[in-house]
Amino acid sequence: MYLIDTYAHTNRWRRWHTLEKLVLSAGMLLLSLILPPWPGAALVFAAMTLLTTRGAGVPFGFYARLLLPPLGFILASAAALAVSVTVGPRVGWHVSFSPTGAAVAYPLLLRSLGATSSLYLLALTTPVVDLLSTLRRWGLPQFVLDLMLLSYRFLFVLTDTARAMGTAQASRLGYGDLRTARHSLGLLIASLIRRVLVRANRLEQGLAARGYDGNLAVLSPEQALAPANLGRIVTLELLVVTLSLYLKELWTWPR
Amino acid sequence: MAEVILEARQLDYRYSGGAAGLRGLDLTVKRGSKLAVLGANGAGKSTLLLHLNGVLRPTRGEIRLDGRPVRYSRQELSLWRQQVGVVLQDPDDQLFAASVFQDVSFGPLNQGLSPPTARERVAEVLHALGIESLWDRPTHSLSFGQKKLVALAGVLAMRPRVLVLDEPTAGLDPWGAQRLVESLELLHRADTTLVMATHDMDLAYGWASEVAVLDRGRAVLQGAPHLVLQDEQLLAGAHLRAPWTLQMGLRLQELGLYPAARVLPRTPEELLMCLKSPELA
Repeated sequence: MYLIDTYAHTNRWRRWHTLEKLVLSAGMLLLSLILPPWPGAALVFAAMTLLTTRGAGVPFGFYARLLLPPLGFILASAAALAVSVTVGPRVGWHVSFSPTGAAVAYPLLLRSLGATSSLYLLALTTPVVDLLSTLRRWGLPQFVLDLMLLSYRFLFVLTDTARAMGTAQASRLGYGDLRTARHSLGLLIASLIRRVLVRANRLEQGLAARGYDGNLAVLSPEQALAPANLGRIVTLELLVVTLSLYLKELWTWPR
Repeated sequence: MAEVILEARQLDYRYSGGAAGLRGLDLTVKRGSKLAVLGANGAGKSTLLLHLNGVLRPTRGEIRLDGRPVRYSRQELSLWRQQVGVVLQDPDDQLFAASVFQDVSFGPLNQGLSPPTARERVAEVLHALGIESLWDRPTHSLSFGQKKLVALAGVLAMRPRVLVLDEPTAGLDPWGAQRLVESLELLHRADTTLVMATHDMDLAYGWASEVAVLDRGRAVLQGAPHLVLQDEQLLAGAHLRAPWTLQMGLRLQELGLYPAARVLPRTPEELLMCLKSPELA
C-alpha cells in the first residue's frame, strides 16, 4: 500500500494530466471487456504492462508481485470452470478437464488480466490528490470527496498506529504462541478502535481551529492538458482495436 | 502598559466525565508579547489553549478578545478563529489532506480567499518556513519534524494576530527546535502575538517576554520570567523547576562572579558569553 502510493508520487508520468491517464486507463479497461478476449484483452494486458513498467518506470518486479493476489483469484476461478469433478456411486471421485469449461475460463482469465492491468496503470501513476480533484471537477458531491480524502489519510495514520502497537506488543512477547497472539491481536483491535475515536475527535478540534465549517475545501493541483499526449493515447487504443480484430482473423483459439 | 489583546477570566471547564480541567483560570495576553504557559503534564495547558480560539467552551467564565467578551455563534467563532490560530501538539491531529499544499490551503480557503490568492499564501508561508520543497509531498510521508512545520504553516497561512502553540518543540531534534524558535522570532518582529505552552523551562526562559505558571487547572502566577521563575517554592508546587540558566546566573551572582545590578543571562549562549568576558557581558 505504501509502495503503491510512493510510485504514484514518483513515477515518470506523475506530471501528466489526470485526464490523459484516465482516458488511457478507462479506455483500455473498456477495450479489455468488449474486444475478443484473444487477442484483444491479451494485447491490452501486454500494452498496459509495458506502459506501466517501461513508460512510467514502475519496477517490473514490484508490478509482478502486485499482480499476484488478483492472479491467484483469477486462476482459482478459471480452474473451477475448466476442471470438473464428478462424484458418483459407481465411479467414485472423478476429476476431468472440461473443454467447454475451458472455453469459458480462458476469456475470463484474459479479460480479468487486461482489466486489472488497466486499473493498475492508473493506481500506480496517479496520486489520490489528483484523482480527487478531477472527481471534484466532475461534480461528485463534496461529502463523498471528503469521505474519500479522510479514508485515504486515515489509512496511513491507522496502519502506523497499528504497526507501532504491534511492535510494542511483540517486544513484550505478545505473539509468542498462537494463544497469546490471538489475545494480543484482540487487544490491538480493541484499542485501535478506541484510538480512532479519540483521533477523530482531536482532528475535529484541529480542523475547527482552522475554520472548518463542514466542508474540507483544499486547492487543486495545477496541471496542463497536453493534446499531443491525448492524441497518442487514442491512437494507441485504436491500434489495439485494429490489431486485435486483424489478428483474430489470422489466429483463432484452437477448439 | 501594553494593550491586552486576549484574556481569560475565571475560566472553569469540566470534561464530559465530570473531571475538572480548568478551575477559575485567569490569563492575560498582551499585544506583541511572547507568553509562555508553563505547567506539568495534566495541568490544563492544552485545555486552556483550546479555549483561546473557541474550540472548547468554558463551563463558566469568559474569553475576551480586544476587551470584548466573545460569543460562540457561528459567525463570531469564524471571525475569532481568523485572529487567533492554534497549532496542536500532535501534527497528525491537524493534517488531514493528502498533500502538503492542500493541507496548508485549507485555512485560507475557509477564510474565503480566492484559489489564486490562497495559492500565493501557501507558497509564501512554505517559503518563510523554509519547507517549499515539501509542497507536493504526501502528508503521510513526512517526518515528524516536517509534519510539525507543515501544521504550523497551515495555521500561519491564515495570518492570525495571535498564534497559540501547544508544545511546539516537543519531539523535535535540537536543530529543528532552533529553527522553529527562529521562525517564531520573525513572527514576533512582524507584530504577531505569541502564546506557547511548554514544560521546557530553559526554552521558556530564553524565549518568553512573560510566563504564566499553571497548576491543576489554575494560573498560579503570571509575570516577568526572571521574577516568576525564581520562585522555587511555587515551581516545586507546580511540579516544575527553575531554568538551569537562571539557577546558574543566580549562583554566579552569589559568588560575586556576576554583577548584581546587571540583567541575568537568559540563554546558555549568553551565560557562556559573560563567563568568557565578564566585563563585556
